[in-house]
Amino acid sequence: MNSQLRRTPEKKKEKVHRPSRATRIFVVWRKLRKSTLAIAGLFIVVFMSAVALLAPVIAPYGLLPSGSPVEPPSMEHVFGTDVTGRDMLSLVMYGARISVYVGIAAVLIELVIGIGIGMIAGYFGGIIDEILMRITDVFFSLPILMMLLVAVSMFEVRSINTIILVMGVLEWPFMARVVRSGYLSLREETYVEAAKSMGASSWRIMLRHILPNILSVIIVLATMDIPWFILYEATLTFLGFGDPMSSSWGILLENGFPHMRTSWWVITFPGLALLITSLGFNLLGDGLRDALDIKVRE
Amino acid sequence: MKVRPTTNEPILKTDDLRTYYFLAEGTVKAVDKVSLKINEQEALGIVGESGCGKSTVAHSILRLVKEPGRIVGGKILFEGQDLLRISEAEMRKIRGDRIAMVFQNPTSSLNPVFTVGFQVGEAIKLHQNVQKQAVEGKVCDILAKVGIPSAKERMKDYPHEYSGGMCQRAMIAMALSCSPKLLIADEPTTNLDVTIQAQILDLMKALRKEFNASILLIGHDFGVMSELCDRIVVMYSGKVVESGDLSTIFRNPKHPYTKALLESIPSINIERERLHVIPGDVPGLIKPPLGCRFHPRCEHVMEECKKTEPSIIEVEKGHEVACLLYH
Repeated sequence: MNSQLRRTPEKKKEKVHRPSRATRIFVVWRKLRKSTLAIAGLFIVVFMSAVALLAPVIAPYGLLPSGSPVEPPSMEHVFGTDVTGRDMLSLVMYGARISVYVGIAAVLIELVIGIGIGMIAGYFGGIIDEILMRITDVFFSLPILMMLLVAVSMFEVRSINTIILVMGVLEWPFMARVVRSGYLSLREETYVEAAKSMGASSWRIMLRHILPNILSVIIVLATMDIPWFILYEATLTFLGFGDPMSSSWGILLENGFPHMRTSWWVITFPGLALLITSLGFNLLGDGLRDALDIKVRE
Repeated sequence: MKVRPTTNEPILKTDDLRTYYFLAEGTVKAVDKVSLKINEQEALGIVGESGCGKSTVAHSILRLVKEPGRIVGGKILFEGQDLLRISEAEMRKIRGDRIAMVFQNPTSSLNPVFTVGFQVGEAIKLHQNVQKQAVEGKVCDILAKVGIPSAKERMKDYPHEYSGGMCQRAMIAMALSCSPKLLIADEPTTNLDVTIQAQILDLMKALRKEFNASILLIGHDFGVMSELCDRIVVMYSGKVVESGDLSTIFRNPKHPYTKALLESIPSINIERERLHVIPGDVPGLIKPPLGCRFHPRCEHVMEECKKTEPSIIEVEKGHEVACLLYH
């Protein structure tokens, strides 16, 4: 090799011209902003979360009867009143609390189980993978709604938390499969090997080196699973397997159902709230999928 | 070529190391009874064609052989300790701290979601008990040492903002961050431009002096090897066929395979119409040829070569050859 080619890097301080430091989150936001539907979804999600958080402050009435039963929408009761004379608008607002809580809490349980099992199966592979994936297959093949009914009815006291727990415990298989496939391919990356050669333990590699690389997929999946949980809870409650003490949208639907023909507002508003929330999360999830995917150009 | 004086105490010694890959088609003996030693502060080069088992040797030393591969026998003595007999937890303490490795693909050796500085600090965080701020300072120092300009700012960059050469510098920084006794470099310059190759080799040479580390350099390029190594081991089909000092191997190669390899280096001094090639391919390792594994491609093949496997013998001091021509 020619010795003239050699040159140790110059020591002099060079001025590096760098573009504005766009962080990952900022790039994602910039891409997300381009899609009207995603922004609509984000708006709905933020709006519903705000309503849920602030319900006690902004609801015009409490959860006690504040008018005559089954009053149609008026200036006083914008959404009308229900059979016991409670203000529908307030009920729907309080219902948002339950629904958003259910969605997020159940997704958290799903994430813990799904990521845990998928991660271990995908990273270690072999017999561990085989065992965990067959268990996953079993859960995957169960008809979910029926299992939910059976599982929920096993509890004598049905609080909202038992419903969340049951949903989270039954709904993780898809998450586990997706996470597993991510680990399966990423564990072959050179940077994983490099991390190993640096003395990192398997757990450190799984959680610290690989997990951030598939976080975007997990976020999208989790966002799109939230409306499912909200709908499942409403379905269970509507079928009479919910927590009768709560004021979730499902309960409102169940209570209003017998009066549907005479007074449309008792089920229309909780139904709409359910529809819009689930639509919002789905739109946001869709938008996030495109925004988080580095392959989709701005 | 100057030969660096080395002490006689080997820092790493493998003894009849055997690493096999157990495939459905059969067992691949990727490393078959390989014995080699690296002395303190010495740079040893392992040369061979693709698939001769040289990378597997490197991975075996760190016990990072991938499934379905397994180390089936032999010893790896590092500072007198058999690495094959210690627990995985003890092995982890050695990796990155006392033995570190640099890989072939610099751009994919860095995790795309973390800043370079963060990753270079990983080994320090894993092996040294230092405060968070101190890690940053150390990372900045070592990045400056490997020649990253304005290291303080560039350590906050992500790998995709680095060039290939800079990524390899960062990888070397990561490997050297805990001042290892042995640095394994698995074809560290293969995917780089020639000028960058030269820079990286220069850097490794300079750092070798500074850190007093022994180096195990894996590669197929005699040019690269001659820049850095004191001693060369030539491997063929999972076995060591020749080993000796750099100058001995270059001036007086004994094994027909080594000779052929050296003849296939393009040279600007000698006029030649076509570059010399070694006929044939590396034999499939599931069913290696009987006798000497090189015999189907050897120019000097004798009847006996097809039956007897040559043992490795010392033809002169420090020069060992496994070939029946010298038995």
